Amino acid sequence: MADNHHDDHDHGPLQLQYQPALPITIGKLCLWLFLSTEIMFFAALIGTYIVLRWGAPANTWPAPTDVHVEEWIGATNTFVLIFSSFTIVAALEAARANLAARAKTFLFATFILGCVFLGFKAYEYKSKFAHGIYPWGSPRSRMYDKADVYYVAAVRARLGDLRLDLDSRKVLDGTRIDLEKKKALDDQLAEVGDAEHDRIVARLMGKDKIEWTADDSQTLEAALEKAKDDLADKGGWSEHLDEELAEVLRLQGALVRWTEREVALHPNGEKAEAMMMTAGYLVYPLHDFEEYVTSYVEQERIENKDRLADAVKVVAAVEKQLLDLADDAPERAAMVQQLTVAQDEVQLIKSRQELLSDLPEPHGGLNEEHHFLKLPMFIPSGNMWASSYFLLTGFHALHVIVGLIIFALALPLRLDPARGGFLEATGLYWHFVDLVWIFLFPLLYLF
Amino acid sequence: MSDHDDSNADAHDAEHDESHVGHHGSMKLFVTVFIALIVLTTISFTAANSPLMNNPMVGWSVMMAISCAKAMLVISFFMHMLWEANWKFVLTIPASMMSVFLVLMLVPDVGLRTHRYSESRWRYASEPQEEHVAGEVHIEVSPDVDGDESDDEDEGEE
Repeated sequence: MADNHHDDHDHGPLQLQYQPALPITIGKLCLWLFLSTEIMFFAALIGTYIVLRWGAPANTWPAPTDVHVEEWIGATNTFVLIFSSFTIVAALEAARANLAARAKTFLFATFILGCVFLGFKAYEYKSKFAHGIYPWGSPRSRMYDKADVYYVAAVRARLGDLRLDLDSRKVLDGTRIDLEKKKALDDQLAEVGDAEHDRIVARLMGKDKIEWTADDSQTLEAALEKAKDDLADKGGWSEHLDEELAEVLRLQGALVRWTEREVALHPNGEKAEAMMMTAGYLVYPLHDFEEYVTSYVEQERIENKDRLADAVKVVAAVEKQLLDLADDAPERAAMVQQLTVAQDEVQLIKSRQELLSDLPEPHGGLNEEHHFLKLPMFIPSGNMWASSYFLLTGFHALHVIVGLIIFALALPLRLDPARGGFLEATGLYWHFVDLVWIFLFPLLYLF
Repeated sequence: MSDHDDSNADAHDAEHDESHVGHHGSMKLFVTVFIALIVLTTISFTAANSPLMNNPMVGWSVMMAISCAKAMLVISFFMHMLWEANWKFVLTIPASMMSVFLVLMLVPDVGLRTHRYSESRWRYASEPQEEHVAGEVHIEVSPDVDGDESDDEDEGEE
């Protein structure tokens, strides 16, 4: 210090010499400080996930396959990231050996691999959204943690919406088809000559008994088919409308009405729980509940056989009474109503039996069978799973994006030994991103 | 003036030395590490689909051990930590300890949150119900309706 002071007097401005505390460059030191905060950030995130997952009530955390997490995608992405870690190291080696072109090739490869990773990630997110798995709650997310009355009510609401929608679409399509028919007819009328015109109009007015010629019918049919196709392209006409409507009606009865009625009869009991769990299983079967639901359903089907026999007896009795009644008896109206109710009950039990007759295999279910249904799903801890899955992979993907931006900025540069420090820092950051994924992969995909 | 030149040269030397010091490993070594990482990933993937998962704790431990091994490979070789001076411990160990504490602090409130749920708390909990029978946690959702086999833990079923 004394020397320095002395020098100051002799040579003017104070000359300080930089004494690095650590044997590394400032840039690298800063990056490592940043990485140590990143270690805390990701270790806390991953640790929280582990605590949440193993803190969840036993066996309620969804298995990867239950929530459309595919192992092969995770494994491929692991490979992609490890490979990219290797290429960035290779880029650094090449730059230090003053092989700028080679370094650029490796850096470019790293960039592409990062993009591939993000591409897979986007595909995964999309497939989850398609199945109603969102990180945020309802109405977006269709996951319910418990199969309780709220769950069944949500299924009812969804089916109600569907029915309304299908009904109105059917009316709309009917109207549009009528319009197209009229147009096709007009077109045809415009084409034919006057004599033909009169003939067809007379036919249409019903005044004449003139038969359609084969040609007439064919042209009209073809025009109608084309009209339907055009409508289908515009999302209007659907051949499956009737089928879909029938399915919705069936489920409204055999799934929702049945369940809600039975639950109302046995509130809070084990039976009510089993009924609602079965509803959840039919919509979205989870392996964990297979045994439970199967044994309950066996029981219910035996019960239903008796019920069906009883209901059929009631119908027969009412029918017999009706036959005996005089045509103008005042109680006839009430009796007819009674008959309708009894017949309805027979129908409902039959349809319930049919619904239970083929229990879905795990990962099948009504939602998979009919994609338009998009019914609420019973997945225990599903929402917690989705929140942590999207948070963890989302933050990781964000880091990948930042890395890609840095790579993109570095690509136009000449990667000679002078850029070694920069490439090393970039590489350290990228390896850290890889490191996080090394832990995320087994935790999210394999456990 | 000559002083100034000297210090410049020194700095340049230091940088050159540093890059030289940091320049350990060879492409051959990195390729080996890369292959090792791929092999470990494959083992991890295989373990997840093997009988090891019959006892999930074993399967999970194997996979986590493999992950740690992979992490060590990446840190040691790709991140050159093997060849760094002791400053590496100053920066990484406190950070790791901090994160471990952070996670441990979550265990009582979050990890063990359901351990003291009362019967009514369970009824209105967002999680499906678990019943506490004689101090043991048994899952109400998995066992038979009739109640037989109700003491079976379904742990082994993944």
